[in-house]
Amino acid sequence: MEADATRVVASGVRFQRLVAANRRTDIMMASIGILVLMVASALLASVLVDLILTGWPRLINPDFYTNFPSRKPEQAGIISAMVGTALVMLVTAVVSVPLAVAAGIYLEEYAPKNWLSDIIDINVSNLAGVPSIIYGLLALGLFVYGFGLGETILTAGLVLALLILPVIIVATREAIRSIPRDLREAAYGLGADKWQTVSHYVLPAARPGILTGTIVGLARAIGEAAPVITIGALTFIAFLPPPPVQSTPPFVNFDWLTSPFTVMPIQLFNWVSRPQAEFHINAAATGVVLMVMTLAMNGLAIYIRYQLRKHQRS
Amino acid sequence: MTKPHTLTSFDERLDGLSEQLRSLATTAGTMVDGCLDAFLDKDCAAAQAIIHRDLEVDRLEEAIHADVMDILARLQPVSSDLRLVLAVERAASNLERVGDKAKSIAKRCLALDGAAPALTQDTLDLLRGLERAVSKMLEDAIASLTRRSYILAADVEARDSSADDLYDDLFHHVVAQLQQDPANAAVNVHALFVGKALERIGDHAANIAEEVRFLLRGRLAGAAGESPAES
Amino acid sequence: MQPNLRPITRETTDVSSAPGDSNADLHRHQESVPLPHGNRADVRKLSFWYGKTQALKEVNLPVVDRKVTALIGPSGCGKSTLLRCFNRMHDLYPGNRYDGEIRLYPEDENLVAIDPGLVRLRIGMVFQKPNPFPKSIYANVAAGLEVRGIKKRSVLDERVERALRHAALWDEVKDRLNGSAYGLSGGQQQRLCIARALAPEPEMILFDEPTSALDPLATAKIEDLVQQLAGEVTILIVTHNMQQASRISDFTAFMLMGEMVEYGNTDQVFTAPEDPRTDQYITGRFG
Repeated sequence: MEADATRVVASGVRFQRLVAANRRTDIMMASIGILVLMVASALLASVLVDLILTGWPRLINPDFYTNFPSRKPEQAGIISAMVGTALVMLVTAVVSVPLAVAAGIYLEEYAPKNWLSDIIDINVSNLAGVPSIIYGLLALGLFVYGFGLGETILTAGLVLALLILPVIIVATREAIRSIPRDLREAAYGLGADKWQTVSHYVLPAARPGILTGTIVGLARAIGEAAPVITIGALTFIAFLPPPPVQSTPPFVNFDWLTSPFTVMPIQLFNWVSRPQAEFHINAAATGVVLMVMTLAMNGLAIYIRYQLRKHQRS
Repeated sequence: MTKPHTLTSFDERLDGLSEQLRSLATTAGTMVDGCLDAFLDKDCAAAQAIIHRDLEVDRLEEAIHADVMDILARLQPVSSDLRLVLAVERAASNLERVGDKAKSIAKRCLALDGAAPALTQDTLDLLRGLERAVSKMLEDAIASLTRRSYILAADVEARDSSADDLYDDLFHHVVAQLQQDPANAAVNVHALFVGKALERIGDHAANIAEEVRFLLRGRLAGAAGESPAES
Repeated sequence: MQPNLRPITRETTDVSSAPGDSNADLHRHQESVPLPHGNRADVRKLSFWYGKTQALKEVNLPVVDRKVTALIGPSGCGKSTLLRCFNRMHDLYPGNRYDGEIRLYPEDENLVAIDPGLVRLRIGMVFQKPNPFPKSIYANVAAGLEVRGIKKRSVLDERVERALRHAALWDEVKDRLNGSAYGLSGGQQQRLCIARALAPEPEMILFDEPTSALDPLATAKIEDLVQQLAGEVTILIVTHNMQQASRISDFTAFMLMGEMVEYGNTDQVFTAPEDPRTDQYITGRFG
């Protein structure tokens, strides 16, 4: 009995050391993680702060947001670039999301598992890795010359839609695949057919994941300059495209689709490549606006996702 | 049957139960074996010992009941296990009654007190024959339980009628004696009651054998499911 | 709770086309088992393969109408596989193959040969883990009705309430029908799933270990419910819990390695099984 008692104490001490060692490892890993995060955040913050400081004189000037580009840096504004970006993004989203979600549903739910679907599968993933300028070349050959769509908002929207299609497809597939098997079986078990199951039960549950993929894709598209330059977007636009809505019937107007345009990254690139230092200030300010737009999109995505979750859970 | 339970304590509990039943059977068996001699030999000391042993039988029976209840509540036996537990429970009750009967036979020895049993040789022979028959029945009933022998159990049940026949003979004999020898009426009536008690012991042995058949085949004797092809 | 559901006699059974003849086969195989008439379904020589692995080997099983039939057996014995054959869940995954028949009465169709959607419209299922949809309580119960094209609000309201009352859940949820199903406890969620399965009034409900994720009290409620429902709908239940099978079922089938070892009245199977393997399994002398 006494011998047993001492052994219990001894093993207690041994376990104390083991627990202490484990705790040290945990603390070390946590420290490294925090360090890495801090370095990354600090880099991003320093870029943003640097841009804000450099671009400050223009950022606080309301004219910057309402003026067209100009040869005089102090009069130059980004109104045409902002409107161009917004409209191109609209086309991109409207084209890419339905296509990509439909493709994702097909690949995940309907496609038979054979060599053809395997090839499609692999290529969708590969497309996500194709350099964006290649998409620009494709669009130049196909949309601009092939279909004769010209250097328009429509062409830009289409090429960016192509660019982010694989991102949304992959996100949609992941989201659909993450729907638990029992939810699907519950729907089938009630007698639902495939389309009822997918549209009523799988897609709603997959919505947060699809939305995240969409935002990630659009955030990538908003910053792309290369494909848009390739198709020949203008850098100096002193007018706005015709407004999509009008006061007379039919109230909507699609003329803007065929309008020449510029977008924020091109405007930024243009200014930064000018020799005058004043234009660099404009470029910095444009960079800040672009980043704010991207962050706002992400913020919106997080908000919508939160709302969807809340709706589902509580 | 021979395969052990995954839960080893289950086997231990069932084995323990069987062990308790065996010691109950042994104790009751020795009471049965000694009671007639004590009565006939008027051995009051032996009779006292038998009466005393009945307390032991009661204690063992209660212990088995408690154990059975505990096993039913905690291990929830089913199928062959359930039948074993129920068979042991019922066998214990029967053995307790056997002990009671043996005790009542021994008690008659004390009641006679001094008067040597003046029984005819025929009465003595019938009593001894009956005692041998039921004692063997009891022994075989317990053996059929421990050996899981359906044939032996069926045999014990079949022998019950011959024990009944012996008792009938005794009855007629004693009735005749009462008329011929009224002076010894008391001792003859005692002998008849002893015979009746022995015959009841035979019935209990037959009951135990019936429980054994239930244990082995899963049907209550006399139930509709009994098919001749099976025996 | 609903005493009027309980005492069910064969006279009230409208499936009177009891396939007496079709039982003859099984009668011959298992002479000593009193085989019930008035079956809702009959499994005959059903084999099933997951790819190249055979999971069921020429299984026979009668499913008596408006009674509870329990499938028991060790893990991997094929009991869940057999259950899932009944509403063709295996058809959702590639590479599965059936051979043999499950005759469904009164039509006397082979349900492994007809359209799986058709089968699932007639046979409901309750799963191992409560799996309500991420929707409101009302929408969950109404789901099966909407699948069947029932859109009228008044009809939906009435049948949702009836199903919830049937599932002994109405009193607990009547004030929050529009609340999310995820706000319910595990036991309530499972009863919701039962209500969801009940709402379209299927002929048979399959239960796949419905209480394995629940605590004892919630389990008892589900067990009570299963017994209550037995008067109205045919129930086939897979359970790991043998006490559960013995408590709530009228008939028990014991399976082992893809084969049907024994089928009989539950009381008989649990007191005096015919096959020594059944005895070994239910007394815990297995493996």
